[in-house]
Amino acid sequence: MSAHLTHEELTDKLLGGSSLTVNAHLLSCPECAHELEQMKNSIAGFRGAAHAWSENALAADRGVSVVPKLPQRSWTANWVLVAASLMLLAAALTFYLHDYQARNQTSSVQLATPLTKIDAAQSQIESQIEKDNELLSQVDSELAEAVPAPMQPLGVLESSTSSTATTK
Amino acid sequence: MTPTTIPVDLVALSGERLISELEDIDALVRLHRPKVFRFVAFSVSDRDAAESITQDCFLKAHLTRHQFRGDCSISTWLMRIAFNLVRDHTKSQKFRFWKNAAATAIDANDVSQHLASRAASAEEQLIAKEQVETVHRALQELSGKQRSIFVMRFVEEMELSDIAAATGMSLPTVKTHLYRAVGAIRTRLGATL
Repeated sequence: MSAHLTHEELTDKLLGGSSLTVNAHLLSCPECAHELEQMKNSIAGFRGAAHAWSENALAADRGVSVVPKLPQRSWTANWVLVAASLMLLAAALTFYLHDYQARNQTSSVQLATPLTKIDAAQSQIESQIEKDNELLSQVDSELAEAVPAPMQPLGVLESSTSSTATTK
Repeated sequence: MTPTTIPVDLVALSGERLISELEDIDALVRLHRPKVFRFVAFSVSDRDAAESITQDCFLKAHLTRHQFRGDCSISTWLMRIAFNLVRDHTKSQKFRFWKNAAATAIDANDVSQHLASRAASAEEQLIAKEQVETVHRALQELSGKQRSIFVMRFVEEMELSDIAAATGMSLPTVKTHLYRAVGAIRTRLGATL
């Protein structure tokens, strides 16, 4: 064991730990015993003062409610919230009015479209339908043929070979 | 020696009793406020901040009372909440900026004024006052964790295992912080006396 207690040994003793060797050293070393006593007194004094100070501080707050209140918004926060709501409402109203006007204008423009234009468009559609029908009938007639158009050369070849066979 | 086992029903019953204790916020505040306030006050060294954090602590405890599992005492649970709030407060930039300029900072002289005068002579009284102020000043030089752990152990006289539970640290870590804190105070006391 060294001449004096180590810092850890002294702190352990302060923390309430008891070791036979440390206790024996304290009995034989007045210097370590004095330092330990001084530390104990200082900390105990601080503890006592801290307790008395906090009691005094809490006594001064006796009139104040100590039970925590649920968080409430401050007046400023409330005003900010009201202003934000009003601005949002105003913006929504403006947007709605703008949208309403735009829709009215579109419908009036649609009403103002001349009937001649509608007739022209209708006739165009009818002519397109007619063309489509024509094309469909053409396709039908092609399909109805015995030999399809791409196979016609083969048909010719086959007829010529059969004619030669009969002549033989 | 046969190990003592606590029946599961008893544990559940104990947990339910603790939870019902948490429901009564008035009683909870009355019972634990001095301890929580003192711990916070000497951890942040600011009276106003301590009052605010103490209120926050009880509010948080009330709002999260259903999360309390009953694996430690209510006091330790409250100290855990307070420790976390103190840590958050200390981390904030606001705290760093106002730390030195706080009008409500706890003064060493103000604390030592409350020292009970049991000393025989005026000289001894003066020495005791000086010692309290030295401990207080040494506390200001510690890190936030060291200061909180020192206050838990030496002001609130909490067991090391309870400190470990409240801080979420291991027992050796708690002891290491205490060694450092006591070392700083020892150096200060050695220099002044």
